[in-house]
Formats: sequence, C-alpha cells, structure tokens
Amino acid sequence: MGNKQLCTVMELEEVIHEFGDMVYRLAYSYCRNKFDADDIFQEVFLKYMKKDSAFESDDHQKAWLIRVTINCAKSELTSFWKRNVVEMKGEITLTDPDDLYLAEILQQLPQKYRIVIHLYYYEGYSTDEISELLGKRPSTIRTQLTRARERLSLLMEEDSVCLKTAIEE
Amino acid sequence: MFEDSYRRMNENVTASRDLIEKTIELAQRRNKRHKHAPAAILVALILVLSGTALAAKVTTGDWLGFVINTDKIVDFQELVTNPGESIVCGDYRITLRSAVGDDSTYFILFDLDTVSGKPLIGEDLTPMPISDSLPADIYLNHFINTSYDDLGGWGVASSVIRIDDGSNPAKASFIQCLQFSNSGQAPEWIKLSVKSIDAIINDNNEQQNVILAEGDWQIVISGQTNTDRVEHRIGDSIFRVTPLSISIYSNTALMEMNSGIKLEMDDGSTMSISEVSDLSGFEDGIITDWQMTAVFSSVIDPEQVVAIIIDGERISLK
Repeated sequence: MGNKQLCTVMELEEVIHEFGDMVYRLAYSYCRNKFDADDIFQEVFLKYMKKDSAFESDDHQKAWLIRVTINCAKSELTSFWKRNVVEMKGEITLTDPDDLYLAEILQQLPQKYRIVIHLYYYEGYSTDEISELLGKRPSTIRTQLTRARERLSLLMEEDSVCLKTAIEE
Repeated sequence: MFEDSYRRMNENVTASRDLIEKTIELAQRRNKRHKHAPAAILVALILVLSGTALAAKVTTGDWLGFVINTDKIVDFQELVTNPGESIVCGDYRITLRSAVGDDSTYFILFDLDTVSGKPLIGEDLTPMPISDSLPADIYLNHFINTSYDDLGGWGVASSVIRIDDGSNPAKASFIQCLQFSNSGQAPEWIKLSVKSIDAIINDNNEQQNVILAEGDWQIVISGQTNTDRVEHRIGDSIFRVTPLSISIYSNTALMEMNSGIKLEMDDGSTMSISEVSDLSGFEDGIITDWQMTAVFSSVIDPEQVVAIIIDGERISLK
C-alpha cells in the first residue's frame, strides 16, 4: 500500500463542489428516493475522505466515484432498515409536468436499467465504458440498454392509451 | 428527444446545501475520530481472528461460542430446519450451515462454493480470483427479501461478513446478520430470497463489483427463538437488551447512525458496538417513531448491562 495521504476537509469540499451533483443524481436514479439518495451521498464522500491514494486523472476520479456510488446504493437498499413504517415518498420536487411524467415512468424500470440509462444518457458514457464501470460484459450492457428502451416505449405507450381512454370517457 | 427530456429532468436533481453542509460536518467529526484508529483496528482484527477460528470449527454446528468469546454462553437453540441444505444455481452453491437468533437478531452461517470446484470468480468478469484479496477486503452482497408479514409492517436490516481465510479459492464462508425492526416478536420463519451474489473487491484501492451469479434461490429458516431480554423504560424511550443486541425505541432520534456506542457492564467493563441500524417514521417532516438496533460481537447476559454510552454520554439503565 502507498503513502497514506488522507483527503482534507477543504479538498473534500472541492470534490463535492465538482462531483456532488453527479453523485447525487446517480444515487437518485438508482433508488428514486430522496432519503436514500441523501444517505448514499454522505456515505460516498465519507469513503472518499478515507481513500488513501491519489487519482491518475479527473476521469479516474469520476469513475471511482461512480463505482462507489453504485456499490453504496446497492448496500443502502439491502443493508439499512427498509423505510416502510410510514409511507415516505421522498421524491425530489419536480414542477414541470413533463419531468413528473418521465420520473414516474422511470420509477417503473428495474434499478439495473435505470443505472445504465443514467450513465448512457446523462453522463454520456459509451456502452463499453459502462461495462468497465459496472464490471459487466459490454454485451450485457447493450442488452440492458435495449431492454430498458423497449420497456420505456412500452410504458409510455400504455400510458398514452390510458390517457386516451380517460379523455374518451 | 428522450435524451433531452432526461437531461432536463435531472438538472433539477441536485444535492441540497443542507446535505452538503451535513456531509462536510460529518467528515470533520470523523477526521477528529481518526486519533482513535488504532483501537478501531484492534477491534476489527479481533473479529477477523474470531471468524477464522469459527471457520475451522464450523462442522460441529455449535459455532456460536467461537464467534463469541465469553464465559457465559447463552443457551441458544438451533434454528435451521434442515442444516446442510443447499441451493444451487449454475455452478454456484449456497449451503446453510447453522443459524441462531433471538427476537431481534439472527445470525446465519453459510458457505458459498462452486459445484465444479472452479475458483469463485465471475465468468469473464475479472481475472482476479477472490482468494487473491485479503478476506477482510471482500464483501458479499445479498439481495434478501424477508417476509415482513410477522414484523408488523417494519423491516429487516442485513449485513454479511466473510469469515474464512480465503485459502480455498472455490469456497467462502459467511455470516449473515439480520436485525429485525420488530414490535416485540420475532417472525416464526424467515424466507431468504437470494437474487444475486455480488462480490465487492478492493483491488489496489479500486472497488470492483463482481457479479458471481444471478438467479432466484430461496431458503426458509424456521424455529424457536431465544426470548431472553431485559427492557428499561427511560422517559419516553424503551431500551431492550437481548443476548445479541440492544434496541432503542423512541419518538425522537437519540443518536446518529455513525454515533459511537458502548455498553457498560456491571463489572465496570465496557463493550463497543458496531453494526448499527436505525429506522425512522416521519410525519410532516418530524420524526414520530425512531428505532435503533445495534448487534453485539459477543453474546452477553442482558442483566449485566448497566448503562449505554452514546458519543460519550452515559445513559443509566439501572
């Protein structure tokens, strides 16, 4: 193991300033719950604080944060108490009806598809890059992306039929 | 078009100022706690060593005493319906070895191995066998569904620790710890639905997530639980101590997830606690139900606990 150079609080502030929203969006895309996303955000940056080696580049740093966010998200949803005492929606406040509609559709996608969708469409990674980030074969990522798109179109189609029926009634 | 809509929606998803400030505050506090790192490392080492001893003795079925170094071993009953039962998916096999528990916590001991005897690595996923890493750097994530029917609408927290020494590349042993957020009664049975087996490997400080197998395996564990427990009511809060854990029930949060917790025993000794989980119920943004459960690394006599110390603040239970 190399020289232990723990990150200072000031450095952490800079990293949060640069990557905080990226981490938060990724966490939220996985769990679609504000409370879980908050927990994951904290966990990721506390892990970052404890990391004891330097990054080769900004891309390397970003990739590390993405991997840790996904790992934290997975363990957040399996390791902590399921918050089902009181129904807590914990959704981010979206005001635009189109955004609300899209958020609702995305909610119905399995988590693994949401992550691939987010990394591809928002972070702009290629399927090969996503496969490296997630430790899966490129063919698996391509299949997941195709299935996610198919599922999204189907959900949107079903939704427009419901809307049409409601209008007709 | 989808891309544009997705981008626009996500622009509104940001970390709040409050969250950022809280995270930095937590980091500052953790930084101060680094002074205590040697003690923390010592505790971790003791747990790993205990785990190694456990792995060697596992075939006896009476493994609790090896995890738990105490003079007073509580008489737990075996809970596994069919110890030795295996579930197989592809080349991966999970074998249930033993389980013990009380009304708030279950420990389940199981092995993961390959039927063919091949090393436990994901197909084409990583060139590195798990055994090349230190056992302490490996975590096995299970996706576990537990029947909530008997839990009064509450939930279950789970964590897992690998306890073998990694000497057999085709086999690993784990203890799964389940902590129930219950209203006083343990469920009569637990159904573990394992959706996938993931290994998170620390390779040169890089975390790699390796999926070993995906599937849908189920094991049902049923039996009687040990119901020894002592309850203390202090103000509006209830402190419930069992041989394996302490739970606090309150209408307000008494501590944070990362708080340092110790138990003070009647002989003056103290015991640090890890594996803390909490759960809150909210109404209009205000906590109305709060529960914390912390699991011990050794079995205790609940009657011997005289106080709980949270972040240095002592709460007397006697």
